[in-house]
Amino acid sequence: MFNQHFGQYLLNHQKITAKQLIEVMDYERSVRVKLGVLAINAGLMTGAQVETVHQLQRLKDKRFGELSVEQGYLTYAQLEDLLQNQHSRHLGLSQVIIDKEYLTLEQLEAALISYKQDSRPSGEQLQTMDVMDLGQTDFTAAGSQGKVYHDYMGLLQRNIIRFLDANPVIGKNELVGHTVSPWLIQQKITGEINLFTGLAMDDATLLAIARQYSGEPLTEINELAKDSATEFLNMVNGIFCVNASNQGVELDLQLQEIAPNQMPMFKNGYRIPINLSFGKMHLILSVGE
Amino acid sequence: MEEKKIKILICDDSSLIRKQLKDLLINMDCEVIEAADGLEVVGIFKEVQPDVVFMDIVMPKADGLEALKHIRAYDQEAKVIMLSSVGTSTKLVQALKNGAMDFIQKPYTTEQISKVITDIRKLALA
Repeated sequence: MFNQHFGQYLLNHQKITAKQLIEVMDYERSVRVKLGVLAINAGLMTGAQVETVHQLQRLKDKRFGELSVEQGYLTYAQLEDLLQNQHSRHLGLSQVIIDKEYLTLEQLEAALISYKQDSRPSGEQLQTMDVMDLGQTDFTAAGSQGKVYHDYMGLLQRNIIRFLDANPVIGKNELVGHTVSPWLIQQKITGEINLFTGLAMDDATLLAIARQYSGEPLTEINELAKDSATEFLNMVNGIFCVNASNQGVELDLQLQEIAPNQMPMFKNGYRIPINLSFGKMHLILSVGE
Repeated sequence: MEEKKIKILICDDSSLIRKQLKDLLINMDCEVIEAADGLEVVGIFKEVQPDVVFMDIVMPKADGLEALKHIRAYDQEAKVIMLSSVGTSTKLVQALKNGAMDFIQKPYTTEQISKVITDIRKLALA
């Protein structure tokens, strides 16, 4: 998500043009992020220091990391950490912007600092995100797909905390089976991997989720209430797609559906109970069917 | 002299997004028209000639990127802001290539919408 958001930020703040953004987004996947950009992003070196090392490289036949340590800009431990992150794609966009000379290193440094200041979550949010665990869930039986289940569950949990309830309690996952739910919201994510996502709940929980998410004084299950609960799942799935896109996995969202007395559209996968202060719902999730 | 209200067309299949965005824009003294799918929005656009369109992507009948193409084919100057939960690289690039003015990832903030309105007002005065 970082690339998209940072790109958007640069466009919104007139640092680059829409044409330049299109161009860098086209290139960012294939680019190898260099140590200078990684060091600026980590706050370990300034744009000016990176420029100095670049100048030294023209005079001496030495690597960027070696010269940075020699100059006292980085320790070996910091260099090691940066090298481990060199394959991360999240700074690809910044690297292309530098390669194409749309911004100087110092301008990039300033943009990264102001972007991070503007988009920093509150201390409270960060604390909540740091202490999360996924309760009794165990996806080891899902084999290589276990990580997808785990990542999705973690994302859903963070957004429940952000929008619905500060203390969700995640129960033990069980197989989906053929349970009919009073209300079932479903949405498919398609592409390099396929995910069937669903939230199952009773009337009271649907209404409570709709009220919490929308902030509207809803008292009955009407179109607005159904759309509000549905939009919550759509928002979570949208973020999942953006996160995947940032890892190089392109996904697409299909239209979401909500219906009463419904069975999930898939038979495999998991049903995970989530206890909220105002009711209980189940996440129904199937990967790759 | 009274300032002319900015005319905004919101296109989203979610009644929640339409309602909340409309409430927000009316508070910003805008005139708001709604469309619920990617087919309806093209017809309404031609009829009302809005100053700006807020357009979802995943919608029934026709998606927002398709609708954007039709609108820009009809009016090269049309200002369309994509407002979608699917802000993937592919969608963002496609939207910009199809002529979108901006792309806002849901959930949007009041500040993001307010900035768009301020920019449109500035353009109207220029």
